[in-house]
Amino acid sequence: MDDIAISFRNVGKTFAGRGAVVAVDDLTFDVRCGEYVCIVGRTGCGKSTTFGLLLGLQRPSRGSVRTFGSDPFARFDDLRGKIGCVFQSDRLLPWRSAIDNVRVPIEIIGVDERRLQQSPAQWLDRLGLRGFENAYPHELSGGMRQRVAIARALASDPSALLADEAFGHLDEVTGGKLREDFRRLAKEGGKTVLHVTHSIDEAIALGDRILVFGQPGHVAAEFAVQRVTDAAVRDQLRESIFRAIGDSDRRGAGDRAAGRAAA
Amino acid sequence: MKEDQSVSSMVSADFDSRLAPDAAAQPGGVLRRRGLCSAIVGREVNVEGAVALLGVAIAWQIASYFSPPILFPPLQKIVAAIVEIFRNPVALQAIGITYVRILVSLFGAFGLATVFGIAAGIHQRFERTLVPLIELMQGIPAVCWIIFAVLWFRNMEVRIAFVIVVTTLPSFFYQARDGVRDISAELWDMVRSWRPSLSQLVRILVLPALLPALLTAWRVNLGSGTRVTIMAELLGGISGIGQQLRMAQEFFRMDRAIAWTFVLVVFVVVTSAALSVIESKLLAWNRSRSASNG
Repeated sequence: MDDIAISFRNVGKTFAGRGAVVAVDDLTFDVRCGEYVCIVGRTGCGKSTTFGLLLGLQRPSRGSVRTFGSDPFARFDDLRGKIGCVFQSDRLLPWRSAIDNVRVPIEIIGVDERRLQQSPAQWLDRLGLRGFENAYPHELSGGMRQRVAIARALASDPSALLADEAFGHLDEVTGGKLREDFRRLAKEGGKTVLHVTHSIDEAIALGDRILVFGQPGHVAAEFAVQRVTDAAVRDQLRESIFRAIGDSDRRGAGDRAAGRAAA
Repeated sequence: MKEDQSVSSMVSADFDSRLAPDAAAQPGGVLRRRGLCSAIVGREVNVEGAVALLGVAIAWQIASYFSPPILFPPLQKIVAAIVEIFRNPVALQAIGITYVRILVSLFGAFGLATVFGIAAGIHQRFERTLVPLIELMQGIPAVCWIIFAVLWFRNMEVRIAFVIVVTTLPSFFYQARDGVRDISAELWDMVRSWRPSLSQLVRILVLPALLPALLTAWRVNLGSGTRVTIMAELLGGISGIGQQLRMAQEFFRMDRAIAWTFVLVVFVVVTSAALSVIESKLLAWNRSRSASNG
């Protein structure tokens, strides 16, 4: 059980208001420490809500969420410094230079920079941004800004990394390079990663395991990814995931358990 | 290490080719450094405006030949009155008193309004409580506040500080509240995901995001704070520039009245230029962004 970094148990999230919206329903999954898990699914399948729940920014309506054994909403401060996030947009603070953006989590956690294994400048260097430490976000290209965001996520040496469509808006070449770097740095650091993506290819390239989300947010299917280079096997896996995403929308809530599969 | 180097070389393709590292390392490098003097006089000369001002000066001087000095004192007499102000220790003291009053009271209003504005921007309950009070405050004319202050407070300094605070607080408040509202939900979530304390949240996100709006409020309130202070000193003051203006009126000294008005204009111009310098230092990121977008 100690091996589990992230745990969702029968989690539901309903947004109240005029016509309540069920964003997540009976969501159950685990992510082991050091595992790289990708979530794929159609738009509106509750991926972002899952992130909000995991970060403790939203309270679940039902069920329990645990991150490293703590309830991220009820014990918000327990997870300070343990989770790093890379979002779809870079979300850099425009008034801070690249290096000062990387320092944000370090300042919040209150760690002495000199006691970190890698300084913010070294993270920027590792991500290919040497010479751009003092540049403001608007002076950097989209790919460079996303690199700063990755450096920021890694700088405080968190145990878990959350990536929400982190490379989706970048061009194929830039996104591909960033993906490789991100996975390599995460694996080198032994980080637990939960990565939301729309791209099946990205999920296959990065994940140890892929969860297919159906609507409203639940695990409709699950695939273990073998690190194979055989194009035919990968195509087969891609096709299976693609079908699972399609099926997840047609299948009713009662069929969810049957929808779990392993490839 | 080799791998790191390979990453660096690999990613160089996604760098914007327009950027050179040196240029990016000095993002404000393309901008001219602005000092107080250049902030005052560094603007492009408005020839038409200068000609218009010169025309008014000539017309005034001509009028002074045909009118008593109580209406149109000659320019040389006005200049002499200005010189006299800057030579006379009593007059200099009056200037100091007025400016300290304005600045101290504005800082007070700024501090209070920023705290209230941030609270209202973050919590709806605070906003629902505070906004009707601020609207009421804003609806009461400054001259009424002066009358209230005269009746409520015996101490002259308290009267003036009170009037400046209540008349300038609303604009600081609304700028702070709206500035907080304008912070994108994405940035809130990003910073909150690191689990900051409230003071860290305010220091790292809220105050820097509010800064442009608060500096704008300072510009507006410097003018209104000056007007209200002079009015308060004029009506009930025993010191300061307002009192000097009242004396000029009582002794029918138009030259002195104009000289004191000149001092007030200089104050607003200098403080506005000082704000520009502060702005260019604190908002270098914003200015360079505008420049690059422009």
